[in-house]
Amino acid sequence: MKKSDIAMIILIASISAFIAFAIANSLSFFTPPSSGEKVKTISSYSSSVQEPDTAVFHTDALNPTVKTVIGTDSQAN
Amino acid sequence: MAEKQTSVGKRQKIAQSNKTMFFWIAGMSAVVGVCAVLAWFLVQQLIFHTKIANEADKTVSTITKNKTAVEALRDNIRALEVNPGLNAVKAEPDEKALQVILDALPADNNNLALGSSIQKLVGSVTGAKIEALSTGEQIGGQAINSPVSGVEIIPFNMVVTSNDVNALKEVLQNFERSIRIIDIDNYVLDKSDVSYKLSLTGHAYYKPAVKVELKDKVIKP
Repeated sequence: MKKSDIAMIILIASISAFIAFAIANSLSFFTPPSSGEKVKTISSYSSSVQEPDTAVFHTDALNPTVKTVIGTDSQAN
Repeated sequence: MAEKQTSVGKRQKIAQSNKTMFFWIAGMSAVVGVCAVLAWFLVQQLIFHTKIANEADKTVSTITKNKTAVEALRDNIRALEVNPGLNAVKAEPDEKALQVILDALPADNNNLALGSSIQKLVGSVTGAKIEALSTGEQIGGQAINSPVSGVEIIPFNMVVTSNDVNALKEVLQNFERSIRIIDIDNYVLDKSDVSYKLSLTGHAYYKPAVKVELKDKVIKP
């Protein structure tokens, strides 16, 4: 096989590859969507619960929360 | 003469077969080129879909873990009902101990509730009187950001007066003892002939409730 034949084969392979690339690139089912795909995710949580800080919650601490009653308080005496 | 004709025929046949071989090889190289390109696209698709499948798999695994953790979490939270620290500072005796946690760090930006709490802290001090109180507004100075991520702040400004400076000191001590953390950013103490005036700016905190729900995550190729 002559060198010119080999060069011709390489050229034909390159041109066909280029044409295939151009066609495949224009077809949506060949390329993954550039905008991406949505996947459902969820954050994990652990079962551990931190103990309340005794520096904050102790017998001398004050709870400033004011009970809000809308309408009449049915529990009031 | 006959020998010459035979050799010419042979050469023609060789040239013909060379030509045929060239066309076949050229055709096959074209096919190989197309296949290589298609393979490249398929590999890209494969990588992308593997990424999606891995993420979906991770979600399923997280849901399974969360499902098993929820029972233990419920038990651990229930155990807090008997915590002596929480039970010691219930706002109402018939309230649940867990309510104390929400009293200390509410889940919503409730300015009025903060105002009521401050009034309660100041009002419990004999001789201290609130002259002005505004919550939810940052007046002057630089905006203060929460030092803890996920925790938001509610700013407030207040002016308290008293004839006795110890009453103002007690107000500050009440802020310190409060289970609802109240940080004081700035204060000015003025003394007139008859009374003391304490002008202060500070902030309290709240933490918006966290929702555990499925969220969309975009996977890019």
